Amino acid sequence: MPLKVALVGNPGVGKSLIFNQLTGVGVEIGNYPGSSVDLLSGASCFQRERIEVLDLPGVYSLEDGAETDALVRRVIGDDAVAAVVAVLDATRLERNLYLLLQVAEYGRPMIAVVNMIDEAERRGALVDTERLGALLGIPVLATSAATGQGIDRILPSAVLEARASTVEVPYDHHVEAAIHSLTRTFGVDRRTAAQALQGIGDDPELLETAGAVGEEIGHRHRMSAGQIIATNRHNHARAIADEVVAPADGGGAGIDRLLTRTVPGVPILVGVLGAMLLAVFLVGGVLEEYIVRAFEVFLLEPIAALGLHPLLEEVLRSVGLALQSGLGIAFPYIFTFYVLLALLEDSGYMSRAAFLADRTMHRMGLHGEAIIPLVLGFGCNVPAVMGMRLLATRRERVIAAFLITMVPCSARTVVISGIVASFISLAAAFSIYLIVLTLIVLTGLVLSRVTPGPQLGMVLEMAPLRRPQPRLVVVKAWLRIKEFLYIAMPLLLISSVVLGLLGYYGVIAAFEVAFAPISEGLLGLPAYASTALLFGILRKEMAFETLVVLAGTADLNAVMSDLQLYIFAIVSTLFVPCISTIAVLRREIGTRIAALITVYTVALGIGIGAVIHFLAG
Amino acid sequence: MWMTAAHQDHEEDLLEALLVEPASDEDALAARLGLDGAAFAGAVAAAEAHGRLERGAGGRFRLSREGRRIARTIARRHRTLACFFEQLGMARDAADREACTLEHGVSDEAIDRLADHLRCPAAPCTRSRGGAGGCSGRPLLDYDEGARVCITFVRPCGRYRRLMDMGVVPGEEVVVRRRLSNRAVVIEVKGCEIGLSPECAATVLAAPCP
Repeated sequence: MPLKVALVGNPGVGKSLIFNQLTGVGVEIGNYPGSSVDLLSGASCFQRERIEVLDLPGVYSLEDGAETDALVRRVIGDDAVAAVVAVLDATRLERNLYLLLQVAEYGRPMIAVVNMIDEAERRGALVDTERLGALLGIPVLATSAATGQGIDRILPSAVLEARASTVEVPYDHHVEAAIHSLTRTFGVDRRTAAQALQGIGDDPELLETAGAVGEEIGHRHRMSAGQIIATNRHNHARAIADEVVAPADGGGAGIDRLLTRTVPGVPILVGVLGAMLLAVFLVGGVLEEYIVRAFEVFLLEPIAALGLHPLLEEVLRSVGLALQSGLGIAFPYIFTFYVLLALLEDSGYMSRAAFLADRTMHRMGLHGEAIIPLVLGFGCNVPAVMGMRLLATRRERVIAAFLITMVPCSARTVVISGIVASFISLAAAFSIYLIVLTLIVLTGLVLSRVTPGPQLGMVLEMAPLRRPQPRLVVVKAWLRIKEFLYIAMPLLLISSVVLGLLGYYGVIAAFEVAFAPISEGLLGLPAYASTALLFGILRKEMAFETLVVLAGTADLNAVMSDLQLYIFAIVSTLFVPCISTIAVLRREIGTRIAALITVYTVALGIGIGAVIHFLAG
Repeated sequence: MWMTAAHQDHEEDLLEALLVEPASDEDALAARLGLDGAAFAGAVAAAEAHGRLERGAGGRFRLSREGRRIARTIARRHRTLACFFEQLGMARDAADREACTLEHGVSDEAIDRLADHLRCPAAPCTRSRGGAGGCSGRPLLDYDEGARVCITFVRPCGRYRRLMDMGVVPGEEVVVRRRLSNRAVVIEVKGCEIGLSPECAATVLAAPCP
């Protein structure tokens, strides 16, 4: 079994950049046993021994009660992990040491890496890593992941020199007494007792006793036991930081002052998001054409020319169609979007966007942080639904799940671009966005009133504004698109074959007949449009492609009126999230809510389509 | 088992003391409760007879489930009463003593109503008493941009755990960097800027730095 080394640190300390430099290619996204939180792992080599490097999710604490914290606790406490590498941001050393002090309590072999040392030095903050090492009792390295400085020393140090830290936080005497009592009574270690006082642990009896003791301490101090422990840790972190860091000058706020004001911050936000969507629209449209044509010429036409048994040909054609539509969307639209999004994230702008959007989000029962998965939804709903995990309460996740699935993803962009922008006008295409965004806001307003559960506020670190690193931007976009390729593509392939077989055995024709009253009567669309909508459940853009096939012409204007095309596009944009999104929704938020969202979007799609048909028809 | 009110009080005091310091030995407990040997032995015997106290490994006391329930009830009565007396202006020690006397006789309904009246027993006192427990101050929302303030209290509700982990703890000095019209604020704490929703900023009390 390879040696395991885990990287742990606050969000935004450059941990992922270090991880990428340590592992190069071959990064895998997977789940740690017993956890549904994604964990990145990659292979490296030292002294001819294979080393598995784990990139743990960025956390501020090990005791926040969030699922990610539980995962980090489990990995750090796992004996299979040979060494823990605590990555610290040299520019924010004190706050980062707070997490390190918690990691140190586990008594696991560890080293510390003080990253962004060059940025700290530019600001005049000099970190005495030798003194820090002496205070912590572990090796401490100075690195700059941006320039590669010191990265090559991390694995040798982790494998050969890692040791348990000698640092111990002196807690308030009541807390110390409680820890002493709990360790004696229950035979647990100091760290377990301190965590039990904060309600963390597995032993119900220990938790009950510790809860009562903690409550009592809390009332005597007018602070909870958790607050006392956190304060003690912060004080100790400050004492260490004071000893090892020469003070820096504050640095200018400059442009940040503009970005976080209502004016011009909000207009800039709207402009940035609008420009991003427009760029995806234009770049994606051009690139997609080449990819779709390539699949047509090199895969689909040769399959048709083979003259196989009709059933086998149908299966192969379905696989080919799934690959064509999946990849035709993945790279032109989604990858372009993810690259732009990674640029925004790495520049630190997204936290400003979240702060500015807090008020609007609040009205929809969410908080500023929710803008991140919502914007992510414009690329693909699948990773956006998974991104809901950063939201603090189930209430927020339920509301976000509804809204994200309504966000026009890249596949829906293809429908809007391919049908409305091509055959009607660009303005009509944007009016669909406008209608959908209005419906999202209205849905949010209603859900915020009817969804039960507490509404917690936003506590968001404003990452410093930085120049994005092109390599890291591409790597980040690539990791995200891998999520799409691994999760959405297999589902797409299977469902495409199933639908192909249903078509082969005549089931779809029966569906067309059954759906005709809605399709023709309510929406004013030709009967075959219902089949195209059904294919949209696979991936949205297939609604467009199927429509072209069933209409028997690529010139849709010849067979459908502008109004019919418009109604088809808006119904297919709103109507049912694709099958991959439904599967991920079910995993993340449960069958009931996933079913509710599906029913709601079907009703909304048909309802809005019918309203437009009767108003304009 | 026949008991006087005093015996019952001793038993309840014993359970409460064990709740706070579960590993105390007999002598330390007796001294803490101010009981002589006979009274202490009587309280232990009564608690054991009622199934509220057990002896674990090495003869060490352990509260049973029922014992813990009673102990928590008494502890809650104590702190609610003590907080009430402190709010009336009594010194903390005197408030504690009065609470010790009354905690055995007061009904749970009275305590519930008193707690409602005080909003919650964990709410900050209206008077500043200094030190870590000092709880004077105004919500962060009330301060203008550029104000340098010291955190005096963070209400234990909502996202207070995240606030604590970010360094927003009593005694910490923060600067209000930005205030939006929606009352969201950006504060600087430990050299990092943190954006807070209005409902989060409202849970943080602060006073101008000395």
